[in-house]
Amino acid sequence: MKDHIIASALARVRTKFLEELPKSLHELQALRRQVELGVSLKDASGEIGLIAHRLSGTAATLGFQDLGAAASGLEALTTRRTSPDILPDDLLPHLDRLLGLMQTALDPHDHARLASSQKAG
Amino acid sequence: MRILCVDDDPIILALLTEVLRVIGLTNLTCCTSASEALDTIDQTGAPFDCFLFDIQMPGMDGIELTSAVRNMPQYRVTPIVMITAMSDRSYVDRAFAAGASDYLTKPFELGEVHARLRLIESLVIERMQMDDRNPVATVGRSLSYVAQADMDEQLSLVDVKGFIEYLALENYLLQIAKSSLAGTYTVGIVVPDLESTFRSSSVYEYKSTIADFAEAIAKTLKPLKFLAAHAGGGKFVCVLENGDKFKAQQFETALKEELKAMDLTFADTRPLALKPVVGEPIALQMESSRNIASSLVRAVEMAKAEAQRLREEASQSSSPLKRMFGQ
Repeated sequence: MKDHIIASALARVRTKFLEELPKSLHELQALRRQVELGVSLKDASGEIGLIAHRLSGTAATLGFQDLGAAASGLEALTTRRTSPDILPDDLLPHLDRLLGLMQTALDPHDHARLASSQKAG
Repeated sequence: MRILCVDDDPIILALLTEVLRVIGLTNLTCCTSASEALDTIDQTGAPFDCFLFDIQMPGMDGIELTSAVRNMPQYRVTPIVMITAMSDRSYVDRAFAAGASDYLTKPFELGEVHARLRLIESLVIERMQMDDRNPVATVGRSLSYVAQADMDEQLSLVDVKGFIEYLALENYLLQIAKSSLAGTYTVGIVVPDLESTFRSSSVYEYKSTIADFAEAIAKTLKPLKFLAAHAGGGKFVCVLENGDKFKAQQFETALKEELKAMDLTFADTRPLALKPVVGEPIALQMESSRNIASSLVRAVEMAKAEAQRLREEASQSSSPLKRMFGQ
């Protein structure tokens, strides 16, 4: 009985999480472009770390274990770099993996809306 | 139980709201920043019974917020649980030193969240019942004679730097055990005869003496990074970081010197001549996780055993037969 109540409570939050996820996805995609262009690397890395931190705190609890682990790994990369202006070589592969997992999480839920918002963007 | 939850992530706030609702905790106020939380605390009518704070937030972080709340007289011992993805030892150390009572790491293990909050709820209810039974207890009791219940109480000496509540110290140990215990030691300190000495004293006098001993312990330990707690009666326990070079005997001598310099007396100005005994430290690095939880109790037991050994040694050296034969 209690498991059922917990599951339905988590389902409500999971819906909210998935509603918010496209926003984080677009932000990370924009930050990825910024990193590729080498613009304001310090700020971009900090922002990536912040978004990854938030995702790592919630995703796994809501059933997205891989997404949570990828976010946690990415956050660690952004906080453990040695110089503010030099990003780790493996930052982009990690970021791409996270972006892929975010898209996978969204696919069954809101694929159409994501696609239309990407076109609009 | 009135709970104030602070996190800059609305999803976490939604998650906690749902998770707490499952166990019947519905009186939850949510804030998305430390400054909003401080305003809410300032404006609230009925005080909060428990706080849940995220650590990493823009502006004032959750550890600074914990310090700010602990500085408010009405919230000196109110449970504060850190809810955070920051599991590094440095964050744990800072959070507990600032006054955190417990620490929950994200992603949440829901069973653990429920168990911890249930425990806190029972503690809050117990404190409320004590206050309800005797609303003037704190005033009246301090003037009455020390009872066994006073001796058993683990005092909250949170005004002494480095001292936290005993339960918080237990939670701290369990949390740091998840990362690294290298160089971490527990050490017990007992003050033999303290209980019998204060048996016919006022509660106020007894508690003041305990606070004086805590001050002396904190001052003597100062070069080291530590957290400590009162373990009831004349018993104290410390958790030392980088305690590899800690020497119990040297510390005991320094502590006695510190107490001598403090020139402690009874209320009627008679000198207080109690001498603390320090037990051998317990290195936690090689302990199993099951033993970690009991290491505070074992540290006190080590100090008690040392006190007993010294007592026997003293009684042997003063035995009439030995004196007769010059031994």
